[in-house]
Amino acid sequence: MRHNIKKLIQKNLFPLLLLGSFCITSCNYIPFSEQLFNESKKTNNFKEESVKREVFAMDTYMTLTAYGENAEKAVNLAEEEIIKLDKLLSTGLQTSEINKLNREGTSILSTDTAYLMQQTLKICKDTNNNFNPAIYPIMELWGFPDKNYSVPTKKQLEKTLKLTDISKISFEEETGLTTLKLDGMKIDFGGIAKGYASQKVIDIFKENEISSGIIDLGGNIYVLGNKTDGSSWHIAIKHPEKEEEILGILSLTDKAIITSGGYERYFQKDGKTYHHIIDPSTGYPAENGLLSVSIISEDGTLADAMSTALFVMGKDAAISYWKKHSDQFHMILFTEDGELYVTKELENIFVSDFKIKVIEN
Amino acid sequence: MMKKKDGILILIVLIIAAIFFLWNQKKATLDGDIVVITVDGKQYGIYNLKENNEIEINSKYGYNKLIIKNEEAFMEQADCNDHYCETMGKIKRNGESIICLPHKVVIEIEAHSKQNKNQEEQEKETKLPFDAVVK
Repeated sequence: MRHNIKKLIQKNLFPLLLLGSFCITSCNYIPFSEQLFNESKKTNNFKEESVKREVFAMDTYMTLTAYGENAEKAVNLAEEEIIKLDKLLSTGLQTSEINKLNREGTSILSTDTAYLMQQTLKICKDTNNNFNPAIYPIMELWGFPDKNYSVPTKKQLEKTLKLTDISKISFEEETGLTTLKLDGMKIDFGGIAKGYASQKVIDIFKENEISSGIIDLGGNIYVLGNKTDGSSWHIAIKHPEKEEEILGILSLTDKAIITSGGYERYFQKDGKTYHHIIDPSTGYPAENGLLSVSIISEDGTLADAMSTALFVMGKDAAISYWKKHSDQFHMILFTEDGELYVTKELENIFVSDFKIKVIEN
Repeated sequence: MMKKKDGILILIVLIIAAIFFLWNQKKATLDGDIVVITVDGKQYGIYNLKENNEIEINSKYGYNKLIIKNEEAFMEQADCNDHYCETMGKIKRNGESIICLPHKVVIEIEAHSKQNKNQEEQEKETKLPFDAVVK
């Protein structure tokens, strides 16, 4: 018997070797799709768990990534929170609080909506009406919400601008009771909702002891802690006019970063480009010499609103506004002349091929 | 004596070898950069960026047509109302994406030469110098 086996092996050594070698080269093959699926959804690399989730909400595409033991749970809760906020704040959704307020003119707002009302009214006053939560009727006139674009007449704009007067909004902070005193007034938190959502997601991550994470809510980014290797997050800022280029890269820890620019949404009519950031004082797209404004802050809500407000203000007003509020945020301004301004504290954490001009406070 | 059986064994081995060879070939073609399509967060398909292809994406949200040509991918057609994805241009580098919001379609280029390299090498190879882009 033993002899037989030996003989058999000897006789068939060549084919066996051949078979063996093919097995070795091929056996570590894992079906491709499976591999990829595992990687993009969940990876267990010894000690750290990571979960990445894609969410479609607030008219945009979002990704939530968390590292740590509770990553799965944290990301689930975060996704629920975003969907909850979307249902509260969506202007188009019949059942949303905002839709109800806009339809009926008076309503008692719940905690989240009331907080945003209070914040936006404050920011509107602080920025001298360069950010306005009641701008929605003007946006409708331009056709931005339903993408049915048209250029309104001056007369139409003048008439509609009256509806954006926030002194005609009565808001009781204690009860949330809100009344829009003029017929046709409408509220939209589109300029702050994603920033607020990013803040809430980060709060949920922290409550679940997530020490590292990155969320991208349609370009509104918040980085939590550092990367798992201990280094800070590297966030690039897109060039507003050149698809393939970036303005520079920031090294950040525990910060929201949000950019506003006319390039994000616009339409063209008779050879002229009209973008979606409306100057609340004129009703026309803001043309104040800036191509993009990036705000870096620990407060995602503030960062979102500020990026819009400072874009409308223009370079000089933005710089003087920042000087009074330099404890709240940092900023990067890119002008139509191709100049790149950064505030003092960013100087050492921002790399760029552009010549940087530092704003001192 | 064993000649005939030997012959059969060699034949079997060769057939098996041929199967493994073809299998590996297929794998090799997927080894480079790949195009991953997801609809509403669920994987729809994976395609080779280096092979010209026309992919029709049909879902309850609508219809999109993706073209892969000369190692670049672009959205040729969509039956949504904004047609924004058609203007997003061509993508070819790892990490680049085309997104069609109304149809919840995400097209992303990913690196895929994972088999024989350790993680560090892969990261070095496929990683952009940043983790995200503020748009």
